[in-house]
Parts: sequence; C-alpha cells; structure tokens
Amino acid sequence: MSSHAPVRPLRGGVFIPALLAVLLSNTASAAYVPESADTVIAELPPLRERASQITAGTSPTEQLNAANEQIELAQRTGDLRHLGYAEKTLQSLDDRSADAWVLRARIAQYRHRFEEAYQNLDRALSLQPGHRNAVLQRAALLRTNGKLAAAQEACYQLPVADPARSLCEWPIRGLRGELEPAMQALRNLNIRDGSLRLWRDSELAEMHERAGNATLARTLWASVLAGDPQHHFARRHLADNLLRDQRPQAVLQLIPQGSPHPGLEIARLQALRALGEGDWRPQAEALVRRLERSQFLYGERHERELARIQLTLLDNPARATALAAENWLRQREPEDIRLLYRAALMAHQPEASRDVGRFVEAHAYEDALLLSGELNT
Amino acid sequence: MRLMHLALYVALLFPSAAFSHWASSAELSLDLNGDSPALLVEVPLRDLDLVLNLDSDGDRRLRWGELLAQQAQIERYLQQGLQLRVDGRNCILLPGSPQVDAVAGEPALWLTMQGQCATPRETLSLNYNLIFDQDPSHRALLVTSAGPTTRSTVLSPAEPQLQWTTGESSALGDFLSFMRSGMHHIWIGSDHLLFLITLLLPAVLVTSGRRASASQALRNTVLIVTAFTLSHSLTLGLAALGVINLPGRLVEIAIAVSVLVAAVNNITGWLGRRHALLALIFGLVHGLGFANVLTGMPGDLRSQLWSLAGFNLGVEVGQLAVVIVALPVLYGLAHSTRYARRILPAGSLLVGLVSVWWIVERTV
Repeated sequence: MSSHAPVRPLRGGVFIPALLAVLLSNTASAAYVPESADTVIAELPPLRERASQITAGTSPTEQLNAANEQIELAQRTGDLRHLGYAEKTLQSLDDRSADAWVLRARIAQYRHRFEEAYQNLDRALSLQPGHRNAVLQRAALLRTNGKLAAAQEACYQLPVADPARSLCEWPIRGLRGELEPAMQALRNLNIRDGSLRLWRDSELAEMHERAGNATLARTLWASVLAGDPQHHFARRHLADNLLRDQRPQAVLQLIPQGSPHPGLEIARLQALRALGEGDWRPQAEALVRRLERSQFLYGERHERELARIQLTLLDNPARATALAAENWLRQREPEDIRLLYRAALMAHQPEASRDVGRFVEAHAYEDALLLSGELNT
Repeated sequence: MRLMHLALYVALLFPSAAFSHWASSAELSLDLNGDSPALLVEVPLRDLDLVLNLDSDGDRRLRWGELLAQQAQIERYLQQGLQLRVDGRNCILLPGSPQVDAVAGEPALWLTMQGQCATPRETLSLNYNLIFDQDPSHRALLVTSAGPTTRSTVLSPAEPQLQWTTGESSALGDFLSFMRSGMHHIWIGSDHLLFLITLLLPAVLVTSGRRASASQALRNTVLIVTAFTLSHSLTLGLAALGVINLPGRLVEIAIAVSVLVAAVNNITGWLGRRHALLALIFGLVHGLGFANVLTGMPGDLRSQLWSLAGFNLGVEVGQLAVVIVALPVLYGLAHSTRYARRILPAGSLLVGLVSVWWIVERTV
C-alpha cells in the first residue's frame, strides 16, 4: 500500500522510527474503565472560560472583546486552546476591521508565526494608518527579529505625546549602545497608567540585568510580579536571576510543579538539578518530547526552549548550538544572543557564534551577562 | 477595546516568549491489518465537553456516569465527524465500549470503532471533522498501519482527510528507505569508518612489514570485515529490538576507545595480528552505536525485523563501498617500504589522537 497527499509521511529516512516514537510516546495506551459512575475522570476549566468562547458576541465590538478576552486568558493561564477559540471568533469578523487584524497578528505572534504576524499588522495599518497597537506590535516584532533600526523607526509613528512612544523607543536604543541613557530616560518617565508602569518596570529590570545590576533587577522583577502575579515572563526572568544567584530553593518556591509554560518549567528543572533533587532528567526529556510533538502537530518553532534544555539540562552543547543557531535566524533578543554565544562556547564551536559577534559589534550591544560565564541565559 | 491591556504590554515586551504549547489534539490509530478497518479514537474530554456539554451538573468535574449518560450523543458526534470510505463506498464505523485514557497528558475518551466493511482493495479515505468548529487550531495525529508500513498524518481544518491507495506494496519502499539510512549512517559516522580503516591499514602487510600478496590482503580484509559485520549485526539487532539497552553516552565513549585500541595496536603491535578478533569484539560496541538511531521502532515484530534488515544491509553496503575504495589505495601505498615504517604508524598516531579527543569530548 502507498499513501498519497494529503498524507504527510514522516521524512528523513532513519529519523522515521525516532520521530514516530516521539509522536507515539503519548499513545502508549493505559486505557481503563473507571470503577464507578461517580469517578471523576476529568477536571474541566471554569465555565466562565468556556462560556466566553461559546457565547462570542453578535456585534463586531462584542466579538472583538470576546476574542481579546480569549487571548488574555491564553496569556494568563498558558492554555493555547484559548488562542484557537479567539481565532474562531475572529473568523466571523469583517476583513475591514483593523482591530481584528491586530488580534490575528497577536495570535500569529504567540505561535511564533512571525511572517503571518507582519502581514496581519500590515493589513491593519493599511486599513488604519497609525493604529496604535499595530504600530507598537510591529516595532516589538522587528525588535525580536533583531531589526533594531527599523524597530526604532517604527516607534516614531506614534505621537510624541504618547508615553508608549518612549516605552517603545528607549528599550530599543538600550540595545543599540545607549543602555545607560535608556535606563535614565525610562526612570524619568512620568507614567500614571498601571499597565504602562509595569511595562516600564519590566524593561528596566531587563536593562539592569544587562548592566550587571542583578540585585536591582531582582527587586524590579519582584515588584512587577507583585503588580501582576500572572506575569509569567517576569516570573521566568526572576527565576533566571535567582538561579544565577545560586538560589535554586527560591526558584522552586516561585514556580509550582506542572507549570504550563515551558520557560518556567525549564527554570524549575534547573533548580531541581542544582539541588540534586528529583527526577529532573526524565522530566526534561519528557518536555523535549512534548515540544517536538507540538512542533510536528502545529508547525510551531521552539528551538529556543529546546536549545536551553539541551544546554542546561541534557548536557548536549553541540545539539544546543545547532538549535540556538536555528533560533537565531528568527529571534535575536538578549536571551537568544546569550544562548547561542554560550552554547557555541561550550560546544567549542566558535564559528557558530560568529553572527552573534557581528550583531553585538554592529549594535554596540552591552550585556554583562554575556561574558559572565553564567549558564542561565 | 481598551487602550492598553495587560496582555498586550506583555506581548510587546516579550513578543516571542514561549507560551504553553499544549494546544488541543486528538490521536487516531487506523489499523488495516485485519479483515476490516479498525479505528482507535482518543479525544480529550475537555474538547468533547466543549461541544457536547457533558458536564451536566455544571460542577466542572466530569464524572464517568455523566459521560455514560451521553454515550449515544458522543457516538453520534464521532460517527458524524469521522467518515470512512473504502473502495468508493461509505464504511460505517461501529463504536465499542468507551474507556478513559490520556492524550498528551490530558484525560481523553478512548474508543475503538470497527469498520463494517472489508479492508480496502484499492482506496481508502478518512475524513476528520471533530472539534474544528470550536477550535480551528485543533489537530489530530493519525497513525495508519498496514502490513509493515506505518504512516503518520496530521489532520487539520486545511487538510482534514487521509487518502490511502493500495497497490504496489510499500514494504519494499520502507526496506529501501531503511537501507539508505544505514548507508548514510556509516558514511557520516566517522568513528565507525575510522575504526574499520585503522584495522585495514595493516591488512595489506605481512608480519615482516612487506606488502602482502593481493590474495592475502584480500583474505585479511574479508576476515576483518566479516568479523565486524557479524558482531555489529548481532548487537544492532538486539539493541534495536530493545533486548539490550545501554546508555548512549557510554556506547559512544566505548566506540572512541575501540578506535584508540586499534590505533595503538597498529603502532605497538601489542595484540599482534589479531585484527579480526579486534573487529569481532569491538564490533559489538559499534552495533550498539548503530542501534541508537533505531531505538523505539514502531510496528509489530515483523515490520521491525524488516526495517532492521534494511538498515543493516545499508550499513554493510556502505561499509563495502568504503572497503572497495580504501583497499586498492592502501595496497598501492604498501608497495613502498615507507608505508610500514612511516605511513602506518603516523596514520595510526593521528587516528589515536583523534580518538583521544573523542574520548575526552564524550566523557566531559
């Protein structure tokens, strides 16, 4: 028998059994018949979350709000299903809604589909030039992709009086050789809006890390987390800071077991390893399998997380270097810079980090952590 | 929409930060080995609840009794969302008794569905349309087994259908694919190649250091290659089938040690001309190395053996190709007295240094 399109046969000769094994690792059946009718077989998410999807509003505004609510739920809970529900809600919206295209861009961005995100933002901006969120998001994407000059330029599309313009502009300048002035500028910003303040403090915390002020950075991450306990990224950066400070026990208090965020889970496993506790290695291997499965099923890219696992948990710097180099083609944030640099260093493959060197030199990028020899990115 | 949502500023600050990656997915296994097609369906209960509202008391804790109470509704939904056509005719899927399992760590409904038709003579198609209406990012992983062939397919709203055409058996295709993999593996496996070539270096000489006759060189080579083949085939088979299971790192270090031993023997002659014995002993370790890439082969024993045979044959063919190229070169070089005095020891020293580097690299 032979299969035909749209069958997607596994490719890669010898990798066929290996990848199938990964995919099938979840299918090893342990099916059972519950003992009684009262046996609870599944804990379901709160009805509110479910209802908000089903009862997506009828007016465009209500639908936009419903989609936005789902995206925020995804952000808060780490549950990607909500992005699917938001996508469904947005399907019924008019193609002439700039807001809808911005939300579609956010979904694409969360799924690491950057090209699609750019296209969606371009649609939004063509419908509504200067759309604030579209401009901000486009600048953020350019920044992620390492196109720093274009990112900074994008920020200037915002009105001078808008405090978000400074929040957009200065962190990018901080990546382009103006770390100290950028920190000063952000500190001097007079911001009343709570969300914007959290944004500012997060940026400042990240800059303090690069400036070598670990204690100040830690205080800021903690304060951001106090302001928004669901801020998973602040939690992860705080965990990394604590790991660098040799405080794995504090990391375990910060991150509960079974976190749905791979970045948090990796930090937790690093802490377990540092303490010599628990079965961190099989957990790390299981996480790799899940990320690879997700990559296969959804076409998402997770090289950053996979590289970090290989480097800090599975002691395979050569594999980490290959993954980090692949990640570098799309993502050039500070942690991507450090990840590739360190992986290449540990794998004794200096040529692999040559691009990083060029990037650092071209942008006069400053980062105390880059040369500190710390493993935690 | 509000001016600036919390989620948006997080998105702006960390646009590429990894999310939870566990979106909705179902798993299907289509077995075409019996008299009629059999489909195993595993769908997360959370997704089914979204569609069918299984949690009738609304306490967000789904009980077995609640699921059983709506069994007919579930079966209807599955039958509507899974359409099997065999040789151009619809094939009814009859559901068996439900059970509970897990998909990617989430509780899932586990149900076998037996096709009420014969296995396909020509064509089969399976249309999947579950959950997509609620969540367009939902995916189903379908694994189809027919004879020694196992294929995986990702079903999505854009590609919701499996199409399967019978005809020329793909068992041969699979065999050839594994054979190619075996050849590829020996050619990219510098440690395997270096071990073999190091053993072959003295095969073109006699004890006095003079060049051996062509027939003698060929006999020495055949002995070494045969010994290496026998032993690595044995451990490759045992390891690939899961009988032996050693840590990959340990095996890699042992392989590097085998190269070092072969090189040292060439220089010092401490083991004499027992090159075939070395090949036999260390071939066992190299077989384990080959098997690393085959570990976890899916399918039944027959298909595993078939894949294994293909892979092993590929290794042998790849190895033979190397020998065919290397032997005349070595034999030509051995014509000069410098071969025994300089080329052999210098080459072996170089190999030894490389192997020491590997040992250090794989140990640290």
